[in-house]
Amino acid sequence: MSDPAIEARSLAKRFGARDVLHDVSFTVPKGKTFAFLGRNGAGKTTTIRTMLGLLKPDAGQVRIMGLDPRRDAMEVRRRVGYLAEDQAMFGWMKGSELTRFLRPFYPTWDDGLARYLAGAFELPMETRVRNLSKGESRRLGLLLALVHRPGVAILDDPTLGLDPIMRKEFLRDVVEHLQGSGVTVFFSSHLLYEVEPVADEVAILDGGRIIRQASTETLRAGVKQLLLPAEAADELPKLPGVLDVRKGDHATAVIVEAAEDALRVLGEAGIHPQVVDLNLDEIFEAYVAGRRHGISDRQPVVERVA
Amino acid sequence: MASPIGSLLWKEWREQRWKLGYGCGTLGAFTAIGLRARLLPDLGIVFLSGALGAGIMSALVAMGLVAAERDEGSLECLLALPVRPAVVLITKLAVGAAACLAPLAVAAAVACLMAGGREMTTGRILLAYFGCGEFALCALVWFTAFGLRQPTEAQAVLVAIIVFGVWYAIHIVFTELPYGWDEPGALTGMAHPFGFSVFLTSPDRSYSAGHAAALLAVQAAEAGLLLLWALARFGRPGRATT
Repeated sequence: MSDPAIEARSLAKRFGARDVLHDVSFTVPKGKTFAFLGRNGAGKTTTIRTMLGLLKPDAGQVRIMGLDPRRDAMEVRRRVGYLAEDQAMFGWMKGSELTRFLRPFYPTWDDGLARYLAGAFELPMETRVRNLSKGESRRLGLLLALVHRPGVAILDDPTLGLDPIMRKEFLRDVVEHLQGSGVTVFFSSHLLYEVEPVADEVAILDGGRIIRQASTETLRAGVKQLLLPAEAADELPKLPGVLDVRKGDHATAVIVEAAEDALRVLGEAGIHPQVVDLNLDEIFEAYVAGRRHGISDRQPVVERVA
Repeated sequence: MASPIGSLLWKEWREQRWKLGYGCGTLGAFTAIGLRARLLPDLGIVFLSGALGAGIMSALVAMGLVAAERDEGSLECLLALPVRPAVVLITKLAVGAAACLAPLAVAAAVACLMAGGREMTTGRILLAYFGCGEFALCALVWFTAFGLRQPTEAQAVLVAIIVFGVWYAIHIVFTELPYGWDEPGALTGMAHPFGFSVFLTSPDRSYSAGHAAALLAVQAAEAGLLLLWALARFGRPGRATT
């Protein structure tokens, strides 16, 4: 197996008394699109800034294409395309001036690709950056992150502040120009339904901790909602991997991490629940809401309902 | 723009050129009007235009170097480039220094043309502006170093005003700063940012090249230390949003 494109091990970071990252570990294989999901304040940007060597972690380490971002910060930044969250560029520059300004910093800069992407993204390159719309500005940021042909593209909440149509267009651009090109994409977002069509693998970050990392297929295949009749809830056996429980008047909804195992246990007890597929948004909510409600995924369901 | 440094210099020049133009026009006109009106002796006008130009330009330029970018949010973009933060700050200071010195050069040219040899020799006028230029560079380094972490331009200017106020208070308290190395407390006078310009422009003070060189050496060492302090803090990011 080849070396991963990004590897983070036991990252920890505190700001004053606040524990922003705690034992964060993840691996991103080369050429994959990795979605880093978390609510606002979960620690996504801190993780990204640590990956780029802009922040020093209190503990743990990161490797980007085998390089240490603290020791080899310049080389990492040359090889990484970075689009910051709500990135502000130099408003007085025109798009063409901005590309001319940035070109000398990257030995692998490709003018042909810059022209191609400017056309593909329909960017007015002779307009000052401050006069671009939000969507154009984000697309210009994406162009600048890709034009030096990076091995890894880090996009920090790239659709933040865009309207739904612009978000779709932006994601279409990401899919068209990044996926299949061999570039590893690290994509942070709090809008989960967005990453669903583009992500190969997902990590869910909550309160500075990774609470799950898996491929999108594994998550969707494993995490299911089981709808049980209300009367069955009182006689439930202990279920493995419960993420969240919602008890209604007529039914109890139990979200489990490994539906197959839970269905086997329920089947042995003579209970046959209705199985509901969940999208990534609902899966994320189950993980995060379950933690918020103090539900540990290793507790038996009847105790939690009580 | 063939190299990263060339690129950074171009960017800084584009950002500072209006201040430079404004400074040259205003200070040149102020000096010309002052010398023409003769409300003050020539020395007074030269000192006033030099001190005002150096003080105001250094504060204006310093606030634009880092705080303006922090305020706009583009500093993050700059610090994420594959270039050392020290290189970014030094190119900023280099262009900032040019923006501070050019208006003083214009004022010196105006003063030499209009009043050279009238009450002061041309050499004395040039020496006075040289002293003010040295003060402008000191002030630029001080204001930049202390205003480096300020989130807005307004706060950076406030810091510059406070720094200037402290210098002035020291100047007032000591009344007559000792500038010579053989006077008691000489280092205080030599390290004070006003030191060199006051020393050069004092009409009643005799000086030697050795004194001037010692003053310059002390102030250069002081600026160097401040620069190191600034460099250590420049690359360090502020508190991140999560």
